[in-house]
Amino acid sequence: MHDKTVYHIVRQTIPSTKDEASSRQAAIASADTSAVAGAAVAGVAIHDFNRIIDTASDEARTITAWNLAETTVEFRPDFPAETVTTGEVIRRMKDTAWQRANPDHPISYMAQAIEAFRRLVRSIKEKRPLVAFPRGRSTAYLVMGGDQANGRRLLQRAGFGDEEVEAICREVYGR
Amino acid sequence: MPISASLDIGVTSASDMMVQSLEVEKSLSEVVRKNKDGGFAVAHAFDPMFSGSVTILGTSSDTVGDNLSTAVSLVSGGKTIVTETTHTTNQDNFNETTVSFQNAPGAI
Repeated sequence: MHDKTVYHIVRQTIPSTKDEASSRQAAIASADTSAVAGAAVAGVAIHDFNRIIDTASDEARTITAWNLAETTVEFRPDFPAETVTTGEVIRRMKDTAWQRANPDHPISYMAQAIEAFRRLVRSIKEKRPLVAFPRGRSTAYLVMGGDQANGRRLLQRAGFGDEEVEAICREVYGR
Repeated sequence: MPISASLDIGVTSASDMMVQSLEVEKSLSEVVRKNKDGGFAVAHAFDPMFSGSVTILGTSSDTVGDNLSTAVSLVSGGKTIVTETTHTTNQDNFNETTVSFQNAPGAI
C-alpha cells in the first residue's frame, strides 16, 4: 500500500471471465479504466491496481480495483473561444509543444487523457492477476505464474490438502 | 493544468497473500461529515457505511503492505479510511498484518 491512510477505491465486478485473457480484455474495456485515466489527468494519483480472478464462485468473475488518492482537484477554464479546422485539431493533438504551451485547452486535456489511458492499459497487461482460492474463512490469492514455493506455503497454511495443492499449482503455475 | 502535471501511476507488482478473518459490519445510520483531511468529504446521512477488519498473511514484509489495499478493496469501493494497522511476524515466518478500516461506498 502507501503511507496515506485515506484513499478512494474504484471497484468493479465483471462476470463471465473464465480465463486470464478474457479477464484482461474485460478490465481494459471497462468504463472504470477510462474514468481513472481522466482522474489521472485531473491530478489524482493512482496508487495501485489489482485484478483478481475468482473461479470459485458459481460464475467465474473478475474483480478490478483501482486505488486512488483521496484528494480534490481544481479545474480552471482558461482558453479563448475559437473555431478551428479538422486539420488544426489533428495537428494540435499530435503537437506536444503546443499542448505544453496551452495546458488548459480542452485539446490538451484530451491528448493527455489518451496518453493516460495507454499507460493504464499497459499496467493492466503487465501486472499479473491474482487467482482466488477460498478455504473456510480464509482465501489464498496467488499471483498467476508467480512464485510457486510461496504459493504452496500459503495454500498449505490455508489448509488445502496435498492433492488440492497440486491441482491449484497446475492451474496457477502451469506445472 | 494537465500537461505540466505528472501522470502519477504507481502500479506495483502483484504478490501472493492470504486473507483471514475478514469481518465487516454495515451501518445505515451513521452521519459522515468529514473533510478530506479527516476522511469522508461529502457522504450523506443514512448512506451505508462499513466498518471492519481484515488479517492478511504474506511471505515477505515487502509484499504484505502492498496487499492491504487489495484486501480492503475486496469489501467495497468508495472512500476508505484505514484506521489502524498492526504488523507481526509469526512462528511460520509469515508476515501478518491486521487492518481496521471504515468504508463509505456512496461518498463522493
